[in-house]
Amino acid sequence: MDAYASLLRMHEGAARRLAAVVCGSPGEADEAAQDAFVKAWYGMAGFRDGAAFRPWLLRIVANEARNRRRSAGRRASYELRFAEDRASGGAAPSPEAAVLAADRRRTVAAALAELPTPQRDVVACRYLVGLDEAETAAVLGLPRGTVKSRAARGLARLRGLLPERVEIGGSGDA
Amino acid sequence: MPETDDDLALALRELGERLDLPAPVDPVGAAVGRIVSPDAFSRRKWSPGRPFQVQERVGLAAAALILVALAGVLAVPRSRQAVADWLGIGKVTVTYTGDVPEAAGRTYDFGTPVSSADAVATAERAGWELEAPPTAGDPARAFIGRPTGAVTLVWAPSGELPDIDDTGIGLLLTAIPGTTDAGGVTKRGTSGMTVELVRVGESPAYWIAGEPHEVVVTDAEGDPVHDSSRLAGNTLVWTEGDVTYRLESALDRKEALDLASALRPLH
Repeated sequence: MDAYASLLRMHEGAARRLAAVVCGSPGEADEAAQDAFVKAWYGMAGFRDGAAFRPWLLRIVANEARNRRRSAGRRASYELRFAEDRASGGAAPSPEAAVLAADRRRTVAAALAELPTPQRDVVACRYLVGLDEAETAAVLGLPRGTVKSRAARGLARLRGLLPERVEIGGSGDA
Repeated sequence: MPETDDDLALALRELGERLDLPAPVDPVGAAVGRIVSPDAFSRRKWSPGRPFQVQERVGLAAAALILVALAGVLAVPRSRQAVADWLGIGKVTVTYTGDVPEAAGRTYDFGTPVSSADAVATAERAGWELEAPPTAGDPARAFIGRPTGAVTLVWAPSGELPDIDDTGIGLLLTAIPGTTDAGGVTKRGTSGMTVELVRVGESPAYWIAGEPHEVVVTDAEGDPVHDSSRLAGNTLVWTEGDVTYRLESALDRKEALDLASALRPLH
């Protein structure tokens, strides 16, 4: 069991982030990840094809997160939160730059929330979680070509949403 | 606002880095607690804490060893992700690699040959009890010292123990005491290698089968010793208390599990 826990620790960060961006609810992320870890243990017999462990585990996490999203129903909002600027050893941004950066983040996040779910899942996996194309395909159970096309369409749609957001002035609350 | 797809991707990645999740409630710990405490594990025989403390040290050692053993493979980007996914239990680490080199000859080095009695005595002097499956009969050969502190017992093929890939070996059982951080075994395999989580008694175990896998032994300093013992049999890996067992054979999973569950002190 200790070995299993060690294995999970290696992938815990990605699992929590994935659960959050798929659920669209940070509060659900840990519960979804926890349920997925338990299911992965009892479903380890399904890990038979010699596939890499990480995508296999993350796929279970993604499925668990999607189930929670479906359970929440259509009215559930996609509400992620993002940290503000922190001192990171470099030069601190000016107050004006910090406000602009925060505004940009809110705008992009709000646009992300408006993407159709299939595109948003792919964009979130690829860019917010940092999975590569093959991993995203494995985790979401999609052909690689579908990941590629949804990512392209998702980015294009995001781009279409962004200028309007700019004019609004970042009033969207991410 | 982002002007190109690259800029947009960068903005999204920045969002991902700033994703603000609630303070972790330790989903791993909570999940493991849910696995350990329910009915299936409620009657474990070990005293709470003791094997886990040992395994924790061993796990750290295994993690360190794998970095050493796989440094060369990590340099190959294509296999980096595959290598990054590994499974470890006790003193054995299982890794996936892009490829496993062809066997260079059929020479096996299981350590220093000794009598079975000497192997038993070696274990006793080190404070642990060597066990073997009585149904397999007496081992044909015994070896000590590879990896450090380990004892390897070898059985010849028989009606119950098919020859492992024409090696002239029917069963190989290596017992590796886990009381030191140095030394261990790494198994490396291709994507054709399959790994299943099973149980031997109350202990989690890995059943490794499929395409040939390579065994790399690490010495007392933690350095990998290549071109060492290498078979292509199906392997069961588990721990009992302080000792990690590796059972290699041509048996199927059920037969191997039956054999592993029946270990008794060897005299």
